[in-house]
Amino acid sequence: MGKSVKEILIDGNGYACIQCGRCTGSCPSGRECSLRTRKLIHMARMGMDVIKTEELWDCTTCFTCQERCPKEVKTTDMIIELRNLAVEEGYFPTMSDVPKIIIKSLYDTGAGQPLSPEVSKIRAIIGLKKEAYDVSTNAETLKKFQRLLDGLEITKKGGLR
Amino acid sequence: MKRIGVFICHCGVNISNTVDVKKVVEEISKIPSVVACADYQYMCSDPGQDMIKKAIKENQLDSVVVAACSPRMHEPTFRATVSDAGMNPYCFEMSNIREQCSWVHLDGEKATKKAIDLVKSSVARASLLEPLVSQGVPVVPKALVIGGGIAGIQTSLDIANSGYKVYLVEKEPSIGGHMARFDKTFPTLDCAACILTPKMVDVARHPNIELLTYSEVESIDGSVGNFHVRVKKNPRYVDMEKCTGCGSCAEACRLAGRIASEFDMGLGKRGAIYVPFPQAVPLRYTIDPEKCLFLKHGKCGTSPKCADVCTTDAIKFDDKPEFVEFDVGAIVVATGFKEFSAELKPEYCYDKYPNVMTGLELERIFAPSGPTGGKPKINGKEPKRIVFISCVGSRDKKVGNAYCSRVCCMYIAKQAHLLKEKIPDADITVMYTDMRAFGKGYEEFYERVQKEGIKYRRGNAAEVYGQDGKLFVRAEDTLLGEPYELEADLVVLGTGLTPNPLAEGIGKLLHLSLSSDGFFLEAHPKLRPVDTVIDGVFLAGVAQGPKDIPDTVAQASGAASHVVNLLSKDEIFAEPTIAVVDEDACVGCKTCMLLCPFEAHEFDEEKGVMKVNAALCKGCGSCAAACPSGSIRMNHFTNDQIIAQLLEVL
Repeated sequence: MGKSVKEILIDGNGYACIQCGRCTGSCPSGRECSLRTRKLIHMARMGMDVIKTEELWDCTTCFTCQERCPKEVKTTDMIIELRNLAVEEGYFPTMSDVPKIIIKSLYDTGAGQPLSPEVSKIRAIIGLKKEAYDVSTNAETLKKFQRLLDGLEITKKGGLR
Repeated sequence: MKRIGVFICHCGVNISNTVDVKKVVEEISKIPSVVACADYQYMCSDPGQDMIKKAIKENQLDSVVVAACSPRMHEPTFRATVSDAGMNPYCFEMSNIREQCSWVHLDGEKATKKAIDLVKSSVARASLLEPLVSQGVPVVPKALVIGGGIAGIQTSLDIANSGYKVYLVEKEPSIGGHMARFDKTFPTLDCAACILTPKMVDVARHPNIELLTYSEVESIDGSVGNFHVRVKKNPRYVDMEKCTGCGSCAEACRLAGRIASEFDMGLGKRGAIYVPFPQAVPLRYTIDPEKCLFLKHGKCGTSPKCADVCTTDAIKFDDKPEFVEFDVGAIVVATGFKEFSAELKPEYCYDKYPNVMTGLELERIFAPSGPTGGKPKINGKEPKRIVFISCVGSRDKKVGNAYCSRVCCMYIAKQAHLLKEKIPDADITVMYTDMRAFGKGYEEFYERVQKEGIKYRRGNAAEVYGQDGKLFVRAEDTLLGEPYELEADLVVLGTGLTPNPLAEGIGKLLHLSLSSDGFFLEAHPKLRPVDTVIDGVFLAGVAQGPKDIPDTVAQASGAASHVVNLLSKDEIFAEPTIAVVDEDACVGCKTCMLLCPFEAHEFDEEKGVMKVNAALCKGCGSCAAACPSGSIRMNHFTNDQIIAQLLEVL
């Protein structure tokens, strides 16, 4: 079992937040979409349904807000943990397919973002093997990994099977 | 056997609600040495104290135990009570059955048992207490004030006006401190120079004040009533007696207008020979040895121009540091602050763009004597779009400053008002975290400034960035919940106040503690805000924590009254609860000397043993605990007394 919202707030120093808005003002995603980092922290503290919000999934985890927070609130860490909680509770974003695509890729290849042909080329140029060594390079390992994911019911929660 | 009286207090119902007081009296009365035992609802009240006095006389008591609250609360009260009845105050012992018993336990039966044990252990200790006598030490009726800002100036004037001599030491060439840099003061908009310079002049001509500018405190020995101070007067390379302050040397200097002026926050220029500002006190010139061509290279053209033009022959290139030594009875530390270093917040690009400036820099831009003659111009142009950013370096754990600097909200309001007054069509936005207008007339001023058309947008600035020669500020309007950005011609950082790094040495010389914010720690945050834990050393102004001018002046006068209170005594009495060395057992290993936080131990070369300076020792006991030969005895806390007390509770 993962953490509750309250535990996430405690561990992330969320109760120290003074709602100054430096996080939202710093957020490169927020300028393009409806993500308001400060508001997420506020909602979490007020006991609102923060894990059901779509905005939770708009963060690119660039950590600028966390770097700049004057009260040492671990904003990005908290967003990541809130996402974990959201998945555990069965809340997946409906507006974006990206998380589903990532999970599918993880299930099929063992990597959330498999190597693109471009990256493979660059690897060859700098003298690395074309394929990176991960679970996908060994069919048996990949099968074990998939069993693990099944056990965690991640694909089910993500609505893939 | 000693005759002991024990008095149990109910503290209203604070103790008696949990502890069965009658039962305690019953049990304690059984101890053979206890010849009188009683309880009362309020032992500290007049009837309660009379009860103790009467019992002392009627039963010829040797010692008294009061079981009540913490000794920090009422030990002084009851010591005075027994003293009144003719008993030595050190034959009094207090047992804490409130904070350490009734307040922390719910089970009345167990709490009663614990209270009995606690009182028994006090009785055991009381039977071994010995009378002690305080030693009187004469007081030197003079004071040292360190720091010549508004705090040091006010303290010095108050002490001097009470008839005591004051040595005022300032490290800069002039007194005046930060306040001399300000243009106007909030919320009354009094001109800072108009209210400060008369006080500076008063200091200079006061017969009781000896002003030591461009000087540093080198060492401080001794203790309350008798401090010995050594001050280093840095060479000014100008004869203070001969210089008339005419200024022709500064005009003639080959480097005139080529060196960044510290007083103008680097925005204005000065020469190698200079006064920090025109109203400097003393109005005497100083040569900067780091910059002067003649002092650095031994050569300045064919001959140094300053010396050529000086009609009084005041230039003294062979000037040397001078050392002054004197004794004082009390010390006031008024070492002020340093403005927060804005480059520690790289997202605000203070280092990168000249039109990002700090609050203190803007003060110099406003000042009629400042680098722009009081006209707010940035790159020769009047700024039209101005953004103020609050809490720069305050309430910010990232830079280690968790505290609020208390002045920025208001100086930003004042500066926004002054800018609007000088540039009526300016578009001014204040990005703030919370608005803190707590002082007298502050909220009214904030309202006035908002009515003048200054935009207050809640939400602090996230970053400043430049693009195509333009400057932008990004923030969230937290009332709307929307991020936005503004283009600005001028960005003013509301930089906070930080501890003065130069005061660190003074703190070490005086063994002062720091609070978690890095400012000097007062003896009690509410009831002793101007005292320190070191007797005879007091605090004034921002040295103790951020505060505005009214609070600084109030605290400075408070410190002065404590100094005068001390200096008005012929003698002061130190606590006799100190360490005593048994000269026969001491081997002179000096372990105690290394451990003592108050430097109270001295080595007697002749006898080869340690001795304790009674005025410096605070009775902390570190030395006695560490002494390998067990030759240090703590008065009032002897091994016998402590062991007897422990055995009763074990």
